[in-house]
This record gives sequence, structure tokens and C-alpha cells, in this order.
Amino acid sequence: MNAFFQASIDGVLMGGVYALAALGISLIFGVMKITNFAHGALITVGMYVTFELYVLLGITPYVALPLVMVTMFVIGYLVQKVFLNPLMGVAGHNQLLLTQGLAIVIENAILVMFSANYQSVSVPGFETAIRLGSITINKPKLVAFLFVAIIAAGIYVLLEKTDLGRAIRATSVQPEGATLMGIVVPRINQIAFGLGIVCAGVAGALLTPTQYIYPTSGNTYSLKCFVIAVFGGLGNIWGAILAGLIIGVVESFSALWLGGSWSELIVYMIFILTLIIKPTGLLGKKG
Amino acid sequence: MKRLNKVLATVLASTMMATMVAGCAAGSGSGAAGGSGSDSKVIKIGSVHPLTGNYAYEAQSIINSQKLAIEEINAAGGITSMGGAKLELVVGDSQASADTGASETERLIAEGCSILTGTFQSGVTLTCMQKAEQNEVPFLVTVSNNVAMFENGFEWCFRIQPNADVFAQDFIEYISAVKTDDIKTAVLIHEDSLTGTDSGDIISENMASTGIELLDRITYSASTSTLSTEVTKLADLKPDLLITIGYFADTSLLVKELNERGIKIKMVCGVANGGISDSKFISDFGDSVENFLDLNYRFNPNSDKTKALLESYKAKYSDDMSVHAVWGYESIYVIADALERAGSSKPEDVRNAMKSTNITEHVLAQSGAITFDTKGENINAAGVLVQIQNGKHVVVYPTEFAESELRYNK
Repeated sequence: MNAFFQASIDGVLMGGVYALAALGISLIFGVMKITNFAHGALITVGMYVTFELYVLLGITPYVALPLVMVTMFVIGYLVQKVFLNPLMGVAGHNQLLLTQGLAIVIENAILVMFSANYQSVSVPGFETAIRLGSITINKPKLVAFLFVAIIAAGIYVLLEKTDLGRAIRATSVQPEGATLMGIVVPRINQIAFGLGIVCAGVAGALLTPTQYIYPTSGNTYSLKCFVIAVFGGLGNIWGAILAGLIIGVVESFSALWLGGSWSELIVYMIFILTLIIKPTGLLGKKG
Repeated sequence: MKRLNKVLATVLASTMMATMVAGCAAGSGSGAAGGSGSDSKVIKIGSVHPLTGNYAYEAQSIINSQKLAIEEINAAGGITSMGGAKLELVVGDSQASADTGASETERLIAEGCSILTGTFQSGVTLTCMQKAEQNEVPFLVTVSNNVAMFENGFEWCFRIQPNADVFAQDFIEYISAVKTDDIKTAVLIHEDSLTGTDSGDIISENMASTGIELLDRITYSASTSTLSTEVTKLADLKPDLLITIGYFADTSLLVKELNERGIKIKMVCGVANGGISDSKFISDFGDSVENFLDLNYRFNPNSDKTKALLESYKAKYSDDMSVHAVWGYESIYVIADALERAGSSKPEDVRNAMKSTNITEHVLAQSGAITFDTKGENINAAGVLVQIQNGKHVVVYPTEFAESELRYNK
């Protein structure tokens, strides 16, 4: 029974980070219909930004978070402006290839700048877990989960309650119509891409206390987050969060009952089944 | 039709250009050789390793050590039987992929390498070995311990390091010798690629002979982002001995989870574990990994040759030489020895010379010379038990190579 609770908690906490990273993919797809294959590489960038701030200023990932968010927003904004805006309106595979190419460039740039060595960040007092009877809760993952909740709520408020959010939503529904209403669509695209990349970067930053940082460390999450975004319904923010939590728990339980080797198999089975049974995903609307 | 002609013309023109450039290059090369005497002869050694991807760090350390060996040999006058010919390392990046590894192998062969080395990952090594066989160029494995790949009747492939069978058998033998009576139960946890599974199979089959009961065998994917569920299982089983087979990142994940929950295990022993045998592992985990054991390949700690090597590596790369890197270093000396005896850099001559290798002076922790059987495996390859003591890796068994006595947790 203990193992059951333990697996549930571990799954939900891990799922929170998946959800945040997937939310970025979903947001970008929702607004611009771009499948961002550079997402994993940008998670890695988030990790290295955090690591650099930790080395240079001696601040923990949690203190560094606002700086990481600003940096990642600027990176995302510029990537959209320089690379992706010129490709808006041409066939979709061009953007897909561009983001894949970007991922390779980023990985190798990191390799050149930081070498392939494993780096890590340590947060004082976070080496031991919280104990509740025989259940243990990993502190960095718990804190990450709280931040994920705050940031997801922030993005929700931004999208639903502000003029900027309305402009983003308008652009996602009808870019031409939005243009006619006086919305500068390219700029909205830049902001949306920036926000999506903030999600990736924050997920990366929050992973640093538990994961090693190396030039391809985001790759573990790249495909998984894409699976989660599709499973939740591409473009649907609540779908991404729900799917992230489900995938986290599914992974945890398949490791418990069937063995760790099974967890990836089952995650990708869910992906294939989603595409066959409900291609629009859990909460996605019919396209 | 017009368009086709244009395409054809372009292709023809570029082919001609390429041929001309290649011709010029070849011409100037031979001219230089004729002009400045025999010492300009260069023998190319190929090196295919995963320089990008998860194993980039290990790959770079192997290549660093290969370059170090080549510098030493060239500085000492190169291959004397060939008029002081110099060695040159030509590096290929397998990107941790079997397909890329194979195409890089072909590229290095096309560039005129006399022999190839690689690749750190068994799955990739196998496809590279196949390419080497097809092209009749010898291939010396630096690091890859899969057993089956040397059971294919290959005639151009060699391996110095102990394979997974040797590791697993040595583990069973050594652990039977060093275990105490209070170690009654064990759990085996390993990553589920070819590497982990090979050794895992042999250990779980032979565990009974050690008198220790194997409670469970837990597998996971090496690229996993969490091992918390696996550690939950471990906590319930409470084994006296934990056997772990994995790479650096996943083993670190395992130790982090164990530490977080304050789980203490009497004896933790890796089998060719990429984490426990890495010095970064000690600097990351400090006291919590004190007394951890690993059955692994290693340099002979008691030889002066090794001591000098470790120092020069550190001086050159300001990093500790990893155990993997040793195989890159020794591979170059095995090749240089073969070239010296062959007096030729023709792949076939090198292969034939490799077959009669008999190197008694080496840096490896194995009793006896480096010499190959008919399959191409090093007959005397062996593992040693390494323990983390006072923040350092020391060999504790067999006694021939031991630097210190094995310490037991209370």
C-alpha cells in the first residue's frame, strides 16, 4: 500500500514538470501551428542559464527563476522574429525542419561552450526528502510542482483576462481576422513563442536540482512532452497539464508493477492509441 | 529534357572539379613526401566515438587519451620499422547512433585509415565492426563489452577489454571470496540495454553459487528521468547487497534517491558501473558513497607506468583520467606494436601482426600479456574490485593488484 502512495506522489510531482514543458509546446502550436522540435534543446538552455547564474552569482535555481524567465522570453521572442516569422504562411514542414535544425545548432553550441561534462547544482537543505511516515517526498520536485502551478495559473490569467491574452487567442483562431482588427500578428507570434520558451526554460531550471546538466539533457523530455501535448490536445493548455500529470502517474505505476523498462513503452502506446482513437486529444476540440 | 541536361551537366562538371582537386591534393602530398624524406610518412588511425549525445564526456576522454598516446609515440620517434613514420588520429563522431557510426567508419576507411578503433556502445560497435569486416580493415574495440559481437566469426576485429561474460564471472568469483556471513540477500538493478542485460543475465543465473539469495531483478531505461519507484521497491526488499549495472547519470539518480530516503545498504557493488568508477561520482556524493564497490576494468594501480600516465593526462587535460580513457590509451600502444612488427600500414599486414600481439608491459590490471585468441578477444582480460575509500578509488581485490584492504559497512 505504501508503494502505491509513494508511486502516486512521485508520479504526480514528475508529471507537474512534464506538464509545464508540454504546456509550452501546446501554446506555441495553438497560436502558430508550429511543432517546436527545439523544445528539448531549449529546456537544456534553461538548465544552463540556471547553472551559469548558480556559478556566477551563487544563487539557487529558485532565486534565479525570474532571470531565467526573462532570458528565455528574450530568446524565444528573437527566435520567432528572426527565424520563424519569415516562414509563417509557407508549408508546415519548413517550420518543423527549421526547429529541428535549431535544436541541433543549440545542442552543439552548448557542447562547444560548456563541453560535454556533467554539471550539477546543489540546493542546501534539499539533499534529504520530507518524510511522512514511510512515505518520502522529494523536496526539489515538490517545490517544482508549486512553481509549475503558479506559472500555469499566471499563463491562464494572462490568456483569459488581459488584452494581450485576447490578442493571442484571436491570433490563434484567425490570424487574418486578427490583423484586420489591428493586431500586429508577427509581434503576437513573437510573444507567444517567447511564453512557450519560458515554459521550457522554467521546466529546465526546476529540473536542475534533481538532474544532471549536459548538452543533451533536455532530450529525455523533448519527445515525451510532445506526446503529452498531443495526448492532452494540441493547443489546449488544460489538456497539457492534465495529460502531463496522467503520463507522470502512468510512468510511475508501470515502473512499479511492470518494471522501469515498460514505462516508456506504455507512454508511447498511449500516444499511438490517442492518435487512433481520439486524434484531437483528451481536451482538444475537433479541428 | 532541357532541365535534365542542365542537371547532368552540373553533376558532370562538379565531378570533374572534385577529381581535379583530389588529383592536385594527392600530387602535392606525394611531392612533399618525396622532397622531405621518409619522416613525413603518416599512418592514420581511425577513432569512432559518440562525441555528441549522452556519452560525449566519456568519448572525449577516450579520444584525449588516444591523442596522448600518439603524442608519446611520435615524440619517441614514431614507428621505427617504417622509418619513423608518425601516427595520426582521425576522429569520427558516431553521435551515439549505429547508422552514423557505420557511415563514419566508412568515411574513415575511405580517408585511408590503416586500422579503426571504437566505439563505447556495443550496439554501435557492432555495426562499425561489420563495416570494417566488409572493407577488410582491422578494428580494435576500445570500450564495448557485449559478448555476442565476437561470436560472429569476424576475422578483422580485436578487443582488449574484458567482455560482459568476464565481468559477470569475475563478479561471481570475487564476491564469493570477499562476502561476509551477514550478507544473505541481494537485489540486482540494471539499465535495460544490451550492456546491462548481458551481465544481468549471467549474474542472475549464477547468483545461487555465491550462497547469496537474489530477491529481485529490477530493470529500467538508462535515459529515465526518475528512479523513485525502483527505489521504493528496493526499500521494501531491504537487501544486504545491491548490485547495480548502469551508466553515470542513471546510477547517480539511483544514489540520490537512496540518500534522500536515508536507505543504507550493507554492500553496494556495481558491475562495470559507469557511475561508481567515475571520480566525479565521488566529488558529487562524498561520504555517502564511501565503501561502494565496483567490479570493473582498470589500469594496474601498482605499476609505475600507470602512475606516470595518470599524471601526464592530468597535466595535459586538467581532468582525472577516467577508467574508460585507459582503453583508448592502451589501444594505441597495441596498434603501434602491431605496426612496428608489420613494418607496413597496409590493413592486411596490420591485421596479421595484431594476431600475434604479445604485450607484457602494459597499464592494465590483468595478469599476463595482452594477447588475442582466435576470436580476437584478449585471453587474459580480467576485472578487479574497486572500492571508494576516503574519497578515492582503490583496488581491493584480487590481492595482486590491491592497493588497500576491502572495508565493510557495519
